[in-house]
Amino acid sequence: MIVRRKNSFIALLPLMTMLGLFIAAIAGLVGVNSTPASAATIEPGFCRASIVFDRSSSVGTKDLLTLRKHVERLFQVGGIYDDKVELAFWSFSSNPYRKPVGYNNPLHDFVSSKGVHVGFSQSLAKLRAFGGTNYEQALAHADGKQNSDVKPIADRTDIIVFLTDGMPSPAGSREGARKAALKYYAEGRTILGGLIGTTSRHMNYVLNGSEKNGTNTFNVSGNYNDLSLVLKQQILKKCNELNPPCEYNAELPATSPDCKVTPYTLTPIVSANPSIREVGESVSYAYSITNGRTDSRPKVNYSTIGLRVNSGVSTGPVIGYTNGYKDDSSSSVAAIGNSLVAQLGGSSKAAVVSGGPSGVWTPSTGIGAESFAIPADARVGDKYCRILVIEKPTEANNPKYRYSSAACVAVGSKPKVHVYGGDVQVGRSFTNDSVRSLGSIVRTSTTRLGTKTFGSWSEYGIMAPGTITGMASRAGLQGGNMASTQNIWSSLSFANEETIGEFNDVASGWIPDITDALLRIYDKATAPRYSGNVALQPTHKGLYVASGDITLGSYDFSTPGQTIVIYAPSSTVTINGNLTYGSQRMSSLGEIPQLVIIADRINITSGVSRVDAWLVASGESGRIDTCSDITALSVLVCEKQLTITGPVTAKQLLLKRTAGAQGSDDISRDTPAEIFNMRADAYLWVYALTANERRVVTTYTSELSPRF
Amino acid sequence: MKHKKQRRFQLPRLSFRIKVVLGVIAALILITVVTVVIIRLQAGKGNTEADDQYQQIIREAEADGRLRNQAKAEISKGNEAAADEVYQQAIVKERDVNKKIELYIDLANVLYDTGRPYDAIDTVKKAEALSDDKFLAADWLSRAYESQDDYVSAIKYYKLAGQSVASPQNEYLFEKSYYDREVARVMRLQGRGN
Repeated sequence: MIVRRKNSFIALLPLMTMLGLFIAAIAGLVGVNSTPASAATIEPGFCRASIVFDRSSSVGTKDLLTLRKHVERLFQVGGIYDDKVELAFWSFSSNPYRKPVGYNNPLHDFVSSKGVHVGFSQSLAKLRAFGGTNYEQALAHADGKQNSDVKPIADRTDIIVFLTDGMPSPAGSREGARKAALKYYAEGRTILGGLIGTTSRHMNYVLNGSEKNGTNTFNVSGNYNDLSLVLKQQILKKCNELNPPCEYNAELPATSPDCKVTPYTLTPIVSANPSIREVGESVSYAYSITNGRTDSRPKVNYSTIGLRVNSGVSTGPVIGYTNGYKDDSSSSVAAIGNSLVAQLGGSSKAAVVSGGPSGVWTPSTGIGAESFAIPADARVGDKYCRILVIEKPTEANNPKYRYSSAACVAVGSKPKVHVYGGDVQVGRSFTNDSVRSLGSIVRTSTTRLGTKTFGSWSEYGIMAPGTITGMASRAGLQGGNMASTQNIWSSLSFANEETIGEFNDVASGWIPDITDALLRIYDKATAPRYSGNVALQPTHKGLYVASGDITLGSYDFSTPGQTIVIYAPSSTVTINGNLTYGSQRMSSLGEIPQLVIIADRINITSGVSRVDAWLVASGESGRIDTCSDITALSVLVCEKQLTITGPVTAKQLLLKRTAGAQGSDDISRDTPAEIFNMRADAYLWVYALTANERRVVTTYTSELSPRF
Repeated sequence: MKHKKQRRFQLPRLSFRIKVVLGVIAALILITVVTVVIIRLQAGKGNTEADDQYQQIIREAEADGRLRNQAKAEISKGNEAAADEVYQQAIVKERDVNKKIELYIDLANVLYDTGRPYDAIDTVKKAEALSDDKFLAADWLSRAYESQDDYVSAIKYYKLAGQSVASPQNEYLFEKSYYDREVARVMRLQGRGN
């Protein structure tokens, strides 16, 4: 009766309870929760990428941490960070139960890449490594059937980025993955394969049907430390291919209704810094393009033309334009270059040389600078020029090209000076000076070539009340110096605190009054006169007073003991030929010849290569000019090396010789234009003159500390 | 009158077939439970520490998410000071300096995402001042300055980050060469014209 039915219900209740527990137990095998996909409406112009994360047991805990950090970085400034790019993810390893759902958890639906998304980050945190590397499950399929959890995501994805650090496990899963890939391709989706320290052949097969075809695969470092960079590059590159930018505005997709011709006008600009360089030195060319319309964002091709213009050829209006550019409709950039060479005078005057950068310009990419080294075979006076060419500088089809005025660097030379046997000292005054030279400095050029620095140097010390820049003391730059900092080669340069130079005591000193000392020995009143062109003779001895400006021709002091003192305090003495002391043997101090020139100005003409004399320019001008007959300098003039043997004192010293400082070896580079040689015979001659001695008797010695 | 003694709970008499079915079901349940226990034991074998770490990561992600959502909600209401306060309270409570810096950077990301880049930069500057270890702050500032076209500052912080790659804050495992390349890239951008 009813009791039986009631009893039946009661009896069946435990069975139903056990069945319920059974179902719950099975459900309990399923892992973590995931955020189910929603079926949102797809908007055009967006790019959606689904990243598939490998969470097999080979992925270590540290790797997962690094992976999470890098993925979160995609949503931050500097990452993808683009409201037109959306990201989703699902994960995989191998689900031994092969159930239709669950094996791609954790996962998350699409979110904008512009800004960190809380739910996405929280789902990402649930990644945990366990199991094999089932390639079919990676593509959200099992036994040929798609995971229904992932289907809403996959149906809206443009790009699947399949990341794995291992080979397929089980091995047969790659066939299933290949079939899944073909299904996605048929749906119009793209698959990229990211290999994290593993072989590519299985991924190649899944994506492309061949183990050797690596199309759309890329590598990530084994410790994931470039994951964000690589994912950003790969996803944005593929998004740009799938949604190419508007050709008129790089920030709009081509499908945008706003993608239409926007007027623009671009101007190419190039500059060279510095504008003169020696052979082997580098110059920087800076390129830029300005847009006259700020409301347009064009994208154009650019290239550069390199020209070498030979020494002596004027460039003028050929490659320099009033408004800074020129429009052209030549057939090609090469044709423009050839045309410019022809306008400069042909191949004997100029030539096209290798150019600088080329590529695609948008307002956000710009053009980098170019470093160019003057070639070893460049001649002084040649110019190396760059011209920036834009293709389609306006929205119209004409002009086809617009190119800039050229920026040129001239090949120059930096002559050097050497001082032997004595110091360089500036800032002292002659006793008759009314103006003190308290701020006198020493400043010479240096050249850095390869690993060495070359420059002017003194064998001994340098003293100045102002700064000393470039010039080395203690022969610090002889043959070039590996160091590029001046401190290294300035060990005998007087310094004050941290600056080389600024040794103010120098400014309080006086130049020894050589004139006064000599005039105490020689009688000016009875001295014979020199005037006009003077031909020195062996019979000339003692003091000679100049009547106006005089010119000395070449002379060799071969007569033993010949001393000539030329006194021209208000006149100019021009040296027009070599004055040499001769090479005869001498057996006493009295046989040492000397020439002393005391003048207002001392000019040495360009043909002179050697002057053995004291040069004392103590007059009102006090100028010594080492190439007085030339005003416009070039390497073709004043090119003889000049050696001056003897003390030199002056208010102004114009070093105008252009010899040396060229060539490719250290000796050539270190060859000076002028040599000042303070030789010991000058000291011996003074000693003999003042002490009336013919021999040197050494009764004591006082030595300077050895110089190495 | 004779009353039949009735048992209150009396199992129905079952046929042999039903008994077999019930037996199979019971066996299945038993096997399932045992299997689940074995699998979980195997997975958990020696992984207690890993489990703890995993749970910690999830808890931290949830806590970070709550802070972020709270701050975003305040900003959407126009209460920027309240958004700042949400993070400040968390920063004050946090003892670990590196975690404080991460919280500042989280706040900076919220500010940046809501259109306040310079407030974001100022926030990370505060984080920079917290420690001699500048890696995280420099890494974020370099990207932020670059996005604002301040290439000089971007290069400065890329270089600083590159010098700090040995920092324990560097969970990205970036090497110095990565930052050297970023410096070179931004220097090329410096030559752009607009």
